[in-house]
Amino acid sequence: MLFNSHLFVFCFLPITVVAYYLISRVMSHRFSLAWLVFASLFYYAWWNPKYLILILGSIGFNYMFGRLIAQHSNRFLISVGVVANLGALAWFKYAGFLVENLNVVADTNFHLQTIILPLAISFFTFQQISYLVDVYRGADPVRDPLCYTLFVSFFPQLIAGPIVHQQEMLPQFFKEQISKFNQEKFAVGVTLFFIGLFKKVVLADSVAVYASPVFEAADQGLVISFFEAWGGALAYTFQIYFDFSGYSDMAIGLGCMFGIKLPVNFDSPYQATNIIDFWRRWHMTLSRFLKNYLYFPLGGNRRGKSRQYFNLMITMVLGGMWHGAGWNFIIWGALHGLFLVTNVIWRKWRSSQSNAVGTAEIFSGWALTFMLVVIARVFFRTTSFSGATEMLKGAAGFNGAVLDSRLEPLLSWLAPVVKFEGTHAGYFNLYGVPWLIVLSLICWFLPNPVRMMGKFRPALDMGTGFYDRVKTRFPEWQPNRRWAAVMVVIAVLAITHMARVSEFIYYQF
Amino acid sequence: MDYFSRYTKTFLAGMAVVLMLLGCFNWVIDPFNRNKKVDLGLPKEAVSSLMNYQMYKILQYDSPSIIILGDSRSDALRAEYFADENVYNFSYGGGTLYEAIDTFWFANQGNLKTVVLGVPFCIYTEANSVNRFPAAKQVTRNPLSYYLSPLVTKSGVMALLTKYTGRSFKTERPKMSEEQFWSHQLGPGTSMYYDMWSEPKVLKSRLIEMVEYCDSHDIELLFFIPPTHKDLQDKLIEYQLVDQYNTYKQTINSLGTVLDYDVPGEFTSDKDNFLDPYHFTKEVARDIATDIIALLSKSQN
Repeated sequence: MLFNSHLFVFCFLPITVVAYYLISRVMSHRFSLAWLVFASLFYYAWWNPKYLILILGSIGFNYMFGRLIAQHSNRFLISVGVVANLGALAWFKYAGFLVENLNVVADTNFHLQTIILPLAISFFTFQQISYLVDVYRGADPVRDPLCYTLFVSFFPQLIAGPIVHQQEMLPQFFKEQISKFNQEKFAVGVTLFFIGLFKKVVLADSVAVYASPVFEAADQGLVISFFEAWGGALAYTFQIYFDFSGYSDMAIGLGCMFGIKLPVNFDSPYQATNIIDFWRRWHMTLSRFLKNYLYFPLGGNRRGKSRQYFNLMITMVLGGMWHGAGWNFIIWGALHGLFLVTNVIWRKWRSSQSNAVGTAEIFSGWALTFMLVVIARVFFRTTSFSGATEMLKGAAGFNGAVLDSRLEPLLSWLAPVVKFEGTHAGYFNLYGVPWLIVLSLICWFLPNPVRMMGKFRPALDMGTGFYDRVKTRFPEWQPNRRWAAVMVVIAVLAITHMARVSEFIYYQF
Repeated sequence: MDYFSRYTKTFLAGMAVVLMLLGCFNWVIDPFNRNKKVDLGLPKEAVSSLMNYQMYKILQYDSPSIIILGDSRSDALRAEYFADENVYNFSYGGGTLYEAIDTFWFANQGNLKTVVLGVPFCIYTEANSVNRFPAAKQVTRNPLSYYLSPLVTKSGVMALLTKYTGRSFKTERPKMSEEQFWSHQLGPGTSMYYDMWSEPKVLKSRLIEMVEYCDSHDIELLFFIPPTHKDLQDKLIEYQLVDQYNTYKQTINSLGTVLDYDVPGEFTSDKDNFLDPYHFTKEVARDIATDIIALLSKSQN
């Protein structure tokens, strides 16, 4: 049951919300939390009831282990806890990949049956590892099994994040006010939910049709020309942003509908002016996890420059692997590691210079950052290394530049370098160009929805000062008739586009 | 607090009203004939087949014993050419082999006895992986997705405009003489297929999967290779695709019974048998249908 399905929007969500507040009114806050746990587990089981045992087993194990670690504060216990979680993740997600590579390297012929990746395993595993480590570091363990189960399984964030910490969720669960219907939170939540739905089904899914044919052709080893490669790579760059940030907006909105705040996950990442800035704005809760539970324990920047660069590389490579078992994800992570290391070196050198940072430098930084993100995305989207190199060859111009012959009268001045051929658009359909223009304007110039509603603090800012940054000139959301009319248009467009059902990209991770 | 309450009520009520209006409009007009409740005498078939042929055909499908799959060449084999046989033509103009295979899995609803699959060389390629069938199936999968679909609304508006303003939405053929159109089809029209033609791997495995399923479920699968004019056959040499073409023929022949009309000779040299280098005439379509019926009766006996 996807957030962008009729079943969810018209059936599951209204029933869950109404029952949640009704139960709280008629019975008690605790019963409404129990209802939320039931609804969340039902939501998870809808995908495959068999894996309900897995998530419940994982919850039970980590709940018990958290209490054990709190009692004994033992290095061995935390190691066992972390290894057990990573072991389960490794089995379901990486076993096939490891066997495949072992067969290549050692010339063996081991065969592993196809293992179905349980939905959300990467998310709930990371969430629980962070819980165990926090308890080991001195945080209070969760004593209430109901609250712990809700902390892991709360359906708005269960499948694809944001990755939450117990310190930010548990105190909310204990407050009885959350299950008392709050007009402000509900209004903000329902607005964010429909904006997120619009981003997913209208924007991301519409641009996806221009990205997929190019990447599929590249993966099949077909020759990709210059404009096709850039068109496809840009389309995918926008698709993944609107897909994932749309999901995150929906999750935050759903949380608000239940009176629960989730952490902010995106802060207009394509407006970043360097790669460090990009990772502070993209999938912020994963960046936080990687920083707190990997980069810092490795030593961060406290053990000298070389070690810092090494730590950055390791963190990003593992971050890449978290997304999936494949060399392309590893390369994607390594590329970002390399970008970050370069950025750190540049920043050090730049701070030693006396001249102030000018507009041109900021603009160049932004353009370079965006281009690097687009190029790295090629590895993220293609399913093979050869597919990625085919795309990059095309983008570098090695396969020539071909345009539809109907464009010749308009772009004849490009004739010395561009071949005008045929009346077909190749793998990248030219109708995708207006989409790319509109989406780039949205990404570069509009504030994201959570910031637009910043006055009402719909999400936790995780101490990033998210709400304190400079405000844009775009009007803030207000609970008035004008915004209600705008939202009617957005919601109707979103619902009518739900006829085409497509999974969220991050569901596969 | 009142502001929030008023906002939420206005927003949700406004959304509900608009959605209900849309739903009612689509229910009454029903351009793809889903519920067949209200008859306003609209040209539904013409408009909806133009807007989304796959969706139109899915909604009209009534589990016959014989289906015809493929692209425009298969679509030319109208059901009425098959006399008394219970035939449904489930092909689409501009269709791909990916769509034909997906259509087969959808059409396989228990009553199916025979499948006639048209596989011309130009769609036997990995390069053309366009597949509009899943999207069309999604719109038809439940009443909400159909009655709230913008495509259905658009088709409904077009049906109304066609009836009450006489406006035609039919895509006109480019304004060319027959000879110019013939050359156009051989030039840019062929380059579109042959420039990007690539040996199918995924497609072939899907075809084999379909063949194996038919074998194990007593479904007769008959391939037909539609005739193309000699001018187009000669293009294979120009595009250096002769070897690939021969391999394609061998593969299709290895998969089952094949009615192959794409052979050099008097018939494919005669322009009178063709509308353009790719498409045969109605008369030829009738002859092919007769051949298919004869072959089917022979195999049944």
